[in-house]
Amino acid sequence: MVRAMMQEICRQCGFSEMERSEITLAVDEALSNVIKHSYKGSPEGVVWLSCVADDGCLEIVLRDQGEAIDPKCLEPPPPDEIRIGGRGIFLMREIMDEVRFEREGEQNLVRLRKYAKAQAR
Amino acid sequence: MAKDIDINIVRNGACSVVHVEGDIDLKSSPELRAAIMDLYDKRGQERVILDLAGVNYIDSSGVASLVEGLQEAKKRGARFILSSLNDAPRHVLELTRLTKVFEITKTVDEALGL
Repeated sequence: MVRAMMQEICRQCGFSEMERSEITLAVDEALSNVIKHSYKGSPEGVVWLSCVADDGCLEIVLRDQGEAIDPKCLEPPPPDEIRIGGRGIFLMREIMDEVRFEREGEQNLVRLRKYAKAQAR
Repeated sequence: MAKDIDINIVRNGACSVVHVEGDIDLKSSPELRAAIMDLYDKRGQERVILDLAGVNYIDSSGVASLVEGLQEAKKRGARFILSSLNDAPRHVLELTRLTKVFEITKTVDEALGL
């Protein structure tokens, strides 16, 4: 459901088919991270997702009430063939122009930004 | 509720072709991982060919399953070949710098002939 929704939002924002797939994957990875790390695999946790398109920038914010994420998990080294996991955040950073992890009160925030090509910075 | 992934395995001696259909993601990747590991671990397969023609979406947990399959194959001196990749899964392997790490063929027949 989230994938279909993200595809449609990205389409409305004018992103190419490849960009739509990439952004959808980045959001999916962010959601997986929340489930795995904030909610420790529990499917019961609530995640709020908001998307704002403004001036050629699509900002997606995921907010959860799970445990604070260990900052060490957020800066994994580049992937190599030896390591099995840990590519989710790497993919998010490869795809999006900005990826920020924040703690606001009792909530974790993941802020993803993608600029339209002409404005990419 | 429809399954996220369908896995059909055709075994011929020490070679197996694993036909996968659906999205390989956080929910479905453990099933794929288990199927691959079973082929090496319990069935002693020397060549496992993953037919990904029916896969249009793979995330990092799916990639992790593939890497684990490759590692298991290497450990046993066996082969692990990805075949018939669609554009989106291939792009994810490119983003994760893994296209050179895996043996990748255009078709299953090509993988069978290696």
